[in-house]
Amino acid sequence: MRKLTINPKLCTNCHICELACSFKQSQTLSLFKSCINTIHLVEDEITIPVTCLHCVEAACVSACPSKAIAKNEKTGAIEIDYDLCIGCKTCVGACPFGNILYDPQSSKTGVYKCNLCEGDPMCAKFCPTEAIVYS
Amino acid sequence: MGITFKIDGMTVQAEENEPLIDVANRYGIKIPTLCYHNALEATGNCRICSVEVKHGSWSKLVTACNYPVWQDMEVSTKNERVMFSRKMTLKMLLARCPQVEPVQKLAKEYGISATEYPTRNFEEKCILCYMCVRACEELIGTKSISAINRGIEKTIGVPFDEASPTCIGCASCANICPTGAIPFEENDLIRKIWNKEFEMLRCTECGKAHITKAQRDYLCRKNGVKPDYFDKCDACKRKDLAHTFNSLILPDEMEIK
Repeated sequence: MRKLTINPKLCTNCHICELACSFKQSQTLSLFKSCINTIHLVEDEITIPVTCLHCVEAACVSACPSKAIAKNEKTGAIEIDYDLCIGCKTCVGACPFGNILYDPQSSKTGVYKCNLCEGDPMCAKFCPTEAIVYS
Repeated sequence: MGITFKIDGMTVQAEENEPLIDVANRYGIKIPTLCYHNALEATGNCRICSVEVKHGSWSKLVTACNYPVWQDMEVSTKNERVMFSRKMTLKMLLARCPQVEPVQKLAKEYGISATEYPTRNFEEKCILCYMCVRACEELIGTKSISAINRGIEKTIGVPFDEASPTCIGCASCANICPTGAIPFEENDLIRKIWNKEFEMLRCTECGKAHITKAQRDYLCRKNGVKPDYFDKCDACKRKDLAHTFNSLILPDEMEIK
């Protein structure tokens, strides 16, 4: 299984991963609709791209009352099944890392998260410095 | 695969007691639905998914969403009787809720532009699909809303239209509603739904409101977590994650090559 690797030392905070992600997920170029977020830590002079960790024992999976969140065995990504999702936002509060997002316009029920672009993550594809690599 | 039967003349295979609609969807046969949701128990409220089941000289109209399949039955999804039933249901729904998009769309598909039934309230949006009631009961587990009154007076609501002691203000009912019939107001301080005002819980770091206090208390009770689990909003939790990652980065000279 391929893995998404992030090396913050190579990140230049150019936000291209966020734009690529938001365009793939919601067909808009908005930094607020992206599943990956580059967080700039001013005092440490470093930028860290943060996205879903696709945990082995994920809190969102066990918290979801309608069993709409499950691991895709092919890509290893934790994905939301929108046919099952009821939009209760329990997963948003359950994720200890804040990687499930909510925006009413972004998806059918408003909840969305990284799904590794079904095995072809745009963030890694567009990253100009190889800070995000999918291999 | 356990059994075989026929849908529109096509022989299909299925497990015994599987819902008819799942089998039809698997074989690419489209049956329209309004009250069907994969996460909820099918209850056959809207009657739009009606199909005819035949066996020998016996036949009956059934709702495909909750009808269990059996060996050698014959199903017709598009014959005259089915179409007549569906069109009549749609006309009644169109008379009840003339402004509702899913009903309008389906009516157009079936060539219905006008209805002979009278409309009582042009602003009515609720199609009585019970998705909200089922979500509240089966998934959230609070059982705060139900059907009130009977016949043409039937509506969905909280008992006596008073502030419900069990409602946690999660707004799942409003989110799942296919027609947007459940109104709620929300700002950084309160969320107002079902005649009750809920105090919002604000992120301890940035102050953004994310869930209601009642919902936090309910989730803590249900899942056995401490109330401080819900202290921070998603953006602040991501910031914490970045700080954690930063503390794990090795200094250059120590980097393992």
